[in-house]
Amino acid sequence: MSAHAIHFQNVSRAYGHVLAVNDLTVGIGSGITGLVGPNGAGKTTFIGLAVGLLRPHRGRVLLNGSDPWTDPAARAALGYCPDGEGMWGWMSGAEFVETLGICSGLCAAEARQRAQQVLASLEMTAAADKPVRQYSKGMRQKVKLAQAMLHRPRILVLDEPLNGVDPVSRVQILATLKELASSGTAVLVSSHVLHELDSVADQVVLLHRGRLLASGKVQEIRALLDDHPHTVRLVSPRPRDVAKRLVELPGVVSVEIAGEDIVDARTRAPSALYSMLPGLVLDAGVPVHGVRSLDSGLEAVFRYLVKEDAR
Amino acid sequence: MTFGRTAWLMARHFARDVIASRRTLVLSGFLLLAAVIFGVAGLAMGEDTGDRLGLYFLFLYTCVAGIGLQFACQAYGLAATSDEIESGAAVYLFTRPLPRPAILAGRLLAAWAVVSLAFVVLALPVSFALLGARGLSAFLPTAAIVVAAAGCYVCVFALLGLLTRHALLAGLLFVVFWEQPISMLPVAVKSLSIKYHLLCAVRAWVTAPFGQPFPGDEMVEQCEGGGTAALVTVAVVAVVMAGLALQRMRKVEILRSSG
Repeated sequence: MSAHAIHFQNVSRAYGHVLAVNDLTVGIGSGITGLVGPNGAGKTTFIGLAVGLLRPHRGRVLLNGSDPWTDPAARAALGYCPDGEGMWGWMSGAEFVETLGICSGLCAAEARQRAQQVLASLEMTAAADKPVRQYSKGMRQKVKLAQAMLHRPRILVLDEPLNGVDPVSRVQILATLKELASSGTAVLVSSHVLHELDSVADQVVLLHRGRLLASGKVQEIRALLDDHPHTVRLVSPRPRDVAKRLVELPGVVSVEIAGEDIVDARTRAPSALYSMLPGLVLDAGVPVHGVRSLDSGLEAVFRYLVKEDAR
Repeated sequence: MTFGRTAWLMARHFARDVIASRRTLVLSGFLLLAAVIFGVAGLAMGEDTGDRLGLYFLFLYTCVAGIGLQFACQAYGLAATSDEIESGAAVYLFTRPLPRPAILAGRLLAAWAVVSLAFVVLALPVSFALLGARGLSAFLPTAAIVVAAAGCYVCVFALLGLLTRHALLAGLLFVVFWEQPISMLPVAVKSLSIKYHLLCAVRAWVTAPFGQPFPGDEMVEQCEGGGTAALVTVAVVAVVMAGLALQRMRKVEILRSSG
């Protein structure tokens, strides 16, 4: 039995002649895992395979140790929030969540009680008794999330859960996901808004053209990309002096004055640059008001990896 | 969750779903219209038993063993399968720990029950309005034929919904070009139609006991084996179709294309 909540072992899946997922081997454990890739990368197919909506053409998918396609019991540990809009619009939000709780094995009374709690935690109590068809996109998204969380699943798979959600609710949902992850739930979140995942994901799975580009913690993946210099931005009223000093530092590949008081340095040794910065300020007397890495984030890592993959 | 509990849960859910849907509103309107037309015609008609029997046969031919019930079964059979798969709502059920055949079994039972109930309720006033005191002896076999026909057609359309993405069109073609022109087909082909067997049962159980010829007799004059044999054939077709649909349900994939 796999130790991972979701485990893909040499999984391939095609639609006609198009290979949507190609020989993918990856494990997803506890914490929040971001599933990242551009349109057509295979994210939705990956999720479909993981939750038992699609059958792999090759390889093996395990959800909680069993095959979700053939074994309904494997899906008892699953909470799934789909991306699509299809819902039973005639039901109220509370009924929708409650009904699906019963389908997950809860008794009616427990499902009702938990539906109230979960909807309250998502600030949906006031709208809980309105028909789903009257909901805004953000409200629907919350109800979809509520039905996924209701039975306290060990594995939560969320396909673009922040689509159409207002900024306040986004923060609220991300906080809820963090809370669930800290309590031991394995959360897999697919999103094309990379900076949102960046702030919550413990690890990421990067897909491109159906293949696995990388998986692991963002910083670890970034650290492995030795070929790609890091860009560090410095803010100083004397950018020319800063630039002059920076080019002398070991590992610096290029320096560019990107604005009136902005200098961008590309370095293969970012740690060395950071350690020498105090010396630059103190010894040379060059004022530096701000320093930040431009591409240690998920988006930059992904950009680099996609470029690498295209070579 | 067990097969039985899942099926029961799904039957209740589906019944509530379809009752709240627009298709039930349309069906109710159709049934009401049919009841009014045949009821008024019955009241306006003279006492001639042959005429009344002819009109009752017309009711059976168009509503019970005909296009009315067939369209209703198509609407509800497809609602039990392809409609939710296409809308995406099925993902909520398919990702639960529920056996897929049990999901379909419950929905088929509910679709069967809803259509049967609707047409049996329609047949009740029409039988009495057209046949008066003898209405009961016509209504009971009519109800049995409705139940058998609804079960069979719901299963046929449910299977179609699982086999093709163009189930609505395929169903319409089946109804209009296969089930309707029965009277023009040779006997060997006629017997492959569900409607033929339903009309055999109508002849054996509903109209023959009246002891006089009725307008549709020639369509089923080669019918052998009586009403029971006809309905057993319909039931066998229903069971086979349901079995194939349950098997097919295991293999249905939900494909989405967002990435």
